Amino acid sequence: MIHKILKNPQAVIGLVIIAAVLLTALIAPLLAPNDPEAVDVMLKFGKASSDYPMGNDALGRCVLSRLLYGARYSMGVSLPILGLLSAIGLFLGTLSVCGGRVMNTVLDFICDIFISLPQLVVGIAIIGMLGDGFVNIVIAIIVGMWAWFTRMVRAYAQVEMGKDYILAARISGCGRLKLVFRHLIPNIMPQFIVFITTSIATTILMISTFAFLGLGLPSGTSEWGAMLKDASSCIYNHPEMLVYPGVCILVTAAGFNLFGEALRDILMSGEDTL
Amino acid sequence: MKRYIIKRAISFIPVLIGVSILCFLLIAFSGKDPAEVIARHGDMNATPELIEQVRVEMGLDGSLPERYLKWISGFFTGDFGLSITSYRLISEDIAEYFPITAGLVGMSLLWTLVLSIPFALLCARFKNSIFDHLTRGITIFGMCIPTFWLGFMLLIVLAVQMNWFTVLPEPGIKGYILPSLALSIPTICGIIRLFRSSLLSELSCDYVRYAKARGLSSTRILLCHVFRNALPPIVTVFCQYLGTLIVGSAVMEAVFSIEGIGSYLISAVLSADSTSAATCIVIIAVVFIAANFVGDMINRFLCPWIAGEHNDT
Repeated sequence: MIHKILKNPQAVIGLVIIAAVLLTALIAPLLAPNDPEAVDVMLKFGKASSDYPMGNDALGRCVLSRLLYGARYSMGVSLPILGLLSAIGLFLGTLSVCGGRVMNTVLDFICDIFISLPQLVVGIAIIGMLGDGFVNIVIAIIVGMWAWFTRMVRAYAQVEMGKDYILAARISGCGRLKLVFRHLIPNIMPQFIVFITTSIATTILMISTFAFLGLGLPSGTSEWGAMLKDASSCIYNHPEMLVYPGVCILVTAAGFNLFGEALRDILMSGEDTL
Repeated sequence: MKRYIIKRAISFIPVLIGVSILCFLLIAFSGKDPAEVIARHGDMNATPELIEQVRVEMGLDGSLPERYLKWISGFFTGDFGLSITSYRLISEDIAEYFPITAGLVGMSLLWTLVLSIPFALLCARFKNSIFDHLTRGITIFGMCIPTFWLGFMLLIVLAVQMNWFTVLPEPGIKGYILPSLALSIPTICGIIRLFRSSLLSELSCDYVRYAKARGLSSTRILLCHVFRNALPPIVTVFCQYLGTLIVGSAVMEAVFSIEGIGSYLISAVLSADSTSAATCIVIIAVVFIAANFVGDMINRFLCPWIAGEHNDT
């Protein structure tokens, strides 16, 4: 498996990007030349120098340091969200398949309601109700996306439940819990991991979109979307300020997408990859 | 077919009711008292009696189910009450802003159709050529472009440096070109990839081999035989994108300073104007559900044999 991944160039590029971003997020304080929040109005739009390798922004803050710290927000919010979403998806998805007909119908109906609301709308509404804050962003995105995860797990699980090995396990007296944890979940994991990886890209984009719209994070945060918003007022004089954060978002999201799609090709080669 | 349409349409009713209840609960628990806001708008030092009077006037004094029924009846009578941000009727606001967003989304869908189908066809026709590899490489990045950033890049290059457009929105159709293009690029990239793989999986079917044996050219097989059969997944996704695009247009409206339903929704949320917000959300949900329904119908029309498969699941 690992051998197959390493042989696929697309997967390797994706992995390298993911590793680089994760590493940046972890050791941002060591890499950053300056404090990302240190304001120095004298250095407003300062040119690149040895102290400030990528210059300064409208408040004289070090652009490079802010970009490096931005990785922390992106990773630090999206990874916990994905962890929670996967747990919710696996729990509710398998529950709806194995929990009987009533459970299935009720869960399906609730999913229908949430799926007919675009994710961003749900997120915006939740943040509007709860107010700003990290935890609220996490809640907002989870409420917006849980139904999709549940649906995915349910679809995968339904296919697996029809297979002979499940029947064999049942005949040999396997309990319901054991069936789910020992047989069902391990077998839907490969497809689910692909789905999770590509969802990270969506989540990263969504977090930046929230920050860009001024929802969820206090102004002046060194999140990439928020930096773009701050820079949008100087589009005439300093357009380069707008370029950097966007490139960071794009590369990070693309890293996860590249890896996810390559993983899908590897895991499901020969099958219908639609 | 007719029975199926009616059955599907009826099955959407409970979902819509669920959506509206969810949105209504959002209004009820948003923590801001609309009666107080409106009373204070007229008189900063509004007394509790005045607030109470406004509450009765606006029909906000009833129980939750009563208020829900009053609000939901607005979707049939067109009266949603007063917006606490613009102090106008919500229906007026929506009537003003909705066409703008509809234009933006419509144009994005047009871009998507015009750009994605030819690229996907070329990719499938010349599989594993340089063109195919290049398109696949570009689209995988294109899917991850933050639309708001792309909007700014287009503004910087085409408006600030080349002066072909203006940074502030222009009247008429020209003002829509850049925002709709920026909005549709990730969608276009996604659809190119999906359509390409849909075409390729159709190309490996037996009927294609038979057509080849009959001596038909590859291009003819692709356009006359495979194209139609590969469409259903694209139609589904295309219709699903509609709802996403309406919300995505909120972001574009912020970048290009356009006043549409998306930016209206966001400002309503930010200023805790929950009645307007919930009304917008329900309208977006209706459009979204309707689009999915239409997509489903188009698929059944294109490939009637799906019907049998669908009923089994």
